[in-house]
Amino acid sequence: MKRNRFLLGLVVLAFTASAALAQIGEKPELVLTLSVQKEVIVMDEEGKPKTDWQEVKSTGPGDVLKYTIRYENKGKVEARAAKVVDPIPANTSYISGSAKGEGAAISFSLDGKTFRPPPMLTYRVRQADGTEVEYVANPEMYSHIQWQLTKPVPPEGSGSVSFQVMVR
Amino acid sequence: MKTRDRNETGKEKGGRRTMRAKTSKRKEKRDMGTEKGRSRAVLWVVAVVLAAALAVPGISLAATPAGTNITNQATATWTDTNNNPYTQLSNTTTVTVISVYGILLNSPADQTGVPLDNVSYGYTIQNTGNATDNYALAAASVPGTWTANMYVDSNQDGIHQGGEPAVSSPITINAGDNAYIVVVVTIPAGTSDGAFADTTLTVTGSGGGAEDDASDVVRTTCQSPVLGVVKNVRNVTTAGPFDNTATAAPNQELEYRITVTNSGSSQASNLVLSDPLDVNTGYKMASATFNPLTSGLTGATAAFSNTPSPGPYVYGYTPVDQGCTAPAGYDYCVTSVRWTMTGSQAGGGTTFNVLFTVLVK
Repeated sequence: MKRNRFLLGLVVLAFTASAALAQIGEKPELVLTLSVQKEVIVMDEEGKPKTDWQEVKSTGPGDVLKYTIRYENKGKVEARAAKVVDPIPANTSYISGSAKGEGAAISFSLDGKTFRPPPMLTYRVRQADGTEVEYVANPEMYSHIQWQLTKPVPPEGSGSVSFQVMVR
Repeated sequence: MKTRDRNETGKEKGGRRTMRAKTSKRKEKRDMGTEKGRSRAVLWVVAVVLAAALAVPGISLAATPAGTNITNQATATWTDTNNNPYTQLSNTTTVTVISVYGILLNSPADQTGVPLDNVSYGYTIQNTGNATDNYALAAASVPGTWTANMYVDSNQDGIHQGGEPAVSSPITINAGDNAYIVVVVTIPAGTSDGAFADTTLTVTGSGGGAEDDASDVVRTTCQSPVLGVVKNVRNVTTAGPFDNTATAAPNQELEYRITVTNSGSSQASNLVLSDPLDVNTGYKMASATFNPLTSGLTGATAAFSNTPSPGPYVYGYTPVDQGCTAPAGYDYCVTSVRWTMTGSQAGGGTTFNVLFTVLVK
C-alpha cells in the first residue's frame, strides 16, 4: 500500500513537472534583430543614379540612416499585445513620415513614456505671463517610436518595422 | 508610397481609438462643441508657425562631433495567453561619426572710398564641419598697389580699429565656431575718380577638399573730387560781358569771376582759392565776394596779401582806402586775394564762384 502511494506520488510529481516544463517550452519568445543602414546613391546598370541602402559602421552629419527591427516569435505559442519601442538615437533627428510597419499602429513620444500619433503629440510652453500654450510637437522633437502590433505573432511568425533618422 | 499612406492612415486611426478609450473626460471636452474644435484649428496654425521657427535653429545646430558613437537598441514587450508580460531587448547597433569638413564665408558689400582711405570689409568664417580645422587665409588686390591687410576683428563690428592685431595665418576654428576678421584695403594716394580694385579673400581648410575652401571678392571704388576752375573777365565801365578776354583802357574797371566746378564723385573739403593781381591793376575796396551757388559750401573768408609779385604771398594784410597812392575806393598795395571756403563742395557737377574788381592803372 505504501509502495502504491509512493508510485502514485511519483506519477503526480512527474505529471506536475512535465506540465511545468511544457509551460516553459510553450511561452512566446520574440527575438529582436536591429540593423542599421545608410542611404547611398549608386549607379544602376544603365549608369543612372539610384538610392540604395548599405550596412554602415561610420556616418557623417547630414547622412540618412535607416533602422530596421526584425522580430520573430521563436516560442511555441503566440505573442499577444506585442509592442516594439525604439528610441531615436542621440545626435539624430527622426525623419517625418519614415516610420513603417505592416500591421502596426505607430505612435511617438517626447519622453519615452507617453505615446501618441503625431497630431495629438503636443507639449506645453509656459509663457512670460504664466499661462501655458500648447504646441503640436515637431517630428524633430520625437524621442521614441512605438509599433503596436495589431495581431498576435504566431509561433515562427515574423515581421519587421523601420524608421529613418538624419544624423545631426 | 502606398505602404506609407497605409501606415500613416492606420497610425491616425489607431491613435484616435486610443484617445477615445482613454478617458470619458476627454470625450466630454470634445462634446462641449465647436469651441474645442476652433481651438484645435488655432493650435494647428500655431504648429505650422512653430515648425517653421524650429526649422531654423535645427539647421544651425552644430554638427555632431567626429568620433561620436550613435548607438541604438530596441525593446519588445508582449504577453502570453495568460497575460504574463515579457520583455526582450534587441542587439545594440553602433555607428561612428566620421570627420566632415566645411566652411561658410560671408560676402560683404562692395564699398567706395577716397584716396588714402582704409576701407574695411568684415568677414565671418564659420567651420561648418564637425571637427576642429585649420584655415589658411590670404588677401590680395588687383591692382596690387591697393594693399590688402587682414586683421582680427576682436569686437566683431566689421571695421578695423587700432589695437586689433594682424591675422596670423593659418587660424584654428573649432567645429561650429566662427572666426571674425577684417580685410582692410588702402586706396593709393592720387587714385583717380572711378578707379577700382578687386580684392580676393581666400580661405583654404587643411582638413577637407574643395568643400573646405572658400573665397570672396569685393570691389573698392575710388571716389575723388575733380575740380575745374574757369576764370572770366568783363569790362565793368563799358558794361561788357564775362568772357575769356576783355579790353580796357586805363582808369576803367575790370571784374574777374572765378567759377569752380566739382565734377568728381565725392565732395571736396578744405577748399582754398587764391588769385594774384596783375601789377597793372589795383584792388577795388570790398569787391571780393563769394557765391556758394550749388556747391553746398557754407561760407568763405577773403584774405589779402601785400607781398610783392611774384610772391610767395603772405596773407593777413587789411586793405586800406587809397593805399599805396591809389585813388579813392582802391588799394594798390593788394597784390593777391585768397578765399578760404568753409564746408564741403559736393561732387556731381556743383559750382561756386568768387568775384573781385580791379582798376586798370
